[in-house]
Amino acid sequence: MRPPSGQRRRGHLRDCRQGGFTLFETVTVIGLLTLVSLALLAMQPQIFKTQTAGRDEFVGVELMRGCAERLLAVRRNTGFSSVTSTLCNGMGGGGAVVGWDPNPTVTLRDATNTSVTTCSSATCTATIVIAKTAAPTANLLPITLQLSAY
Amino acid sequence: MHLPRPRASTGQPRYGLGPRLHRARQRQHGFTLVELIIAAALIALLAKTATFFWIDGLGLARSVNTDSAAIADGRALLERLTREIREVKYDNVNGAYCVTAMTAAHLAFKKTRPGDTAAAACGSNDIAVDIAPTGATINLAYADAGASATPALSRPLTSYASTFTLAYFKADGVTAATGAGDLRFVQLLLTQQPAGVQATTTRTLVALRNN
Repeated sequence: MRPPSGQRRRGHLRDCRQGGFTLFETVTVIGLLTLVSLALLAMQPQIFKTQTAGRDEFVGVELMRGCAERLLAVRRNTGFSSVTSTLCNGMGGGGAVVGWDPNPTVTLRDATNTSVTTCSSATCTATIVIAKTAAPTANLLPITLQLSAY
Repeated sequence: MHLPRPRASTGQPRYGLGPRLHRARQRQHGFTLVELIIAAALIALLAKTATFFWIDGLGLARSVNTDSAAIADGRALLERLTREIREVKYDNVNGAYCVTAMTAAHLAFKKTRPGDTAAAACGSNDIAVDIAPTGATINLAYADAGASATPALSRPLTSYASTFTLAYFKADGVTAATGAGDLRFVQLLLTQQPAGVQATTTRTLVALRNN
């Protein structure tokens, strides 16, 4: 803005003082922008994390389903007393299936919801879950099935 | 910027040579190399962020989509094959499942036609089912050779398979089955891998239930 006449000298002085942003101000602003952009870039691993979770769910559920098939088939063909919590050992990770516990965790419970090592009656339920041994860990929902219902 | 203020009293040309100008030039400092490098690095980072969303972001979205599609395909495939394999017909006369091919890459069997309760042995009235991988495709084919014969149907169940292996087990679930007589479990091992995306390998077990 042009200074009014008579104040030219003062205006000239003021123009000299208007030095724009200082280096400190500029660097502060750029620093803040950098923080924002870093936050945005941090979303990228998050996307991969979601993708990994979907893959883990698929792989883990199929492994658990195989274990459930085995428990139910043993119950049907051999009887309740043959269903033990170690029947699924070796049906988890191994071979081409990398990063999973080879032994799914099978918890057998009787009618009073007490953990048992061997099923004895039609009220027995089995809960199957499998742990991922490779990072990142997976939080899978266990499969619970009543052994008489097959 | 600090420019030297011209003084009226000197009477000398403003930018002439002399000790005063020398002093003024010393005061006119620009950015240092370190400052410039830091600024350039920060600007590069900002540019990376700005371009991320339409350069990397699109590729990322595409790969996530492809990966999700492959996983959904795999899930549907295993579910479908499980349903089919459970229904393998059991030959009560000979005490064996009606399986005509059981190799690592091919499973062919018969299942009972709906409503057909009379036939106890494997027969021509059954529906023939054929499961075989061809490259990245896994084909499920039906040959309905019975009275209500229809043309054979072959359906590709996935187009992302990189390996698909069948294994056959006895009733203990561990020992390999020797034939249709002691076959009780079929194991499916599937690797899904679309181009440019990480492989997904899983395994499941199907119990035959008609014995």
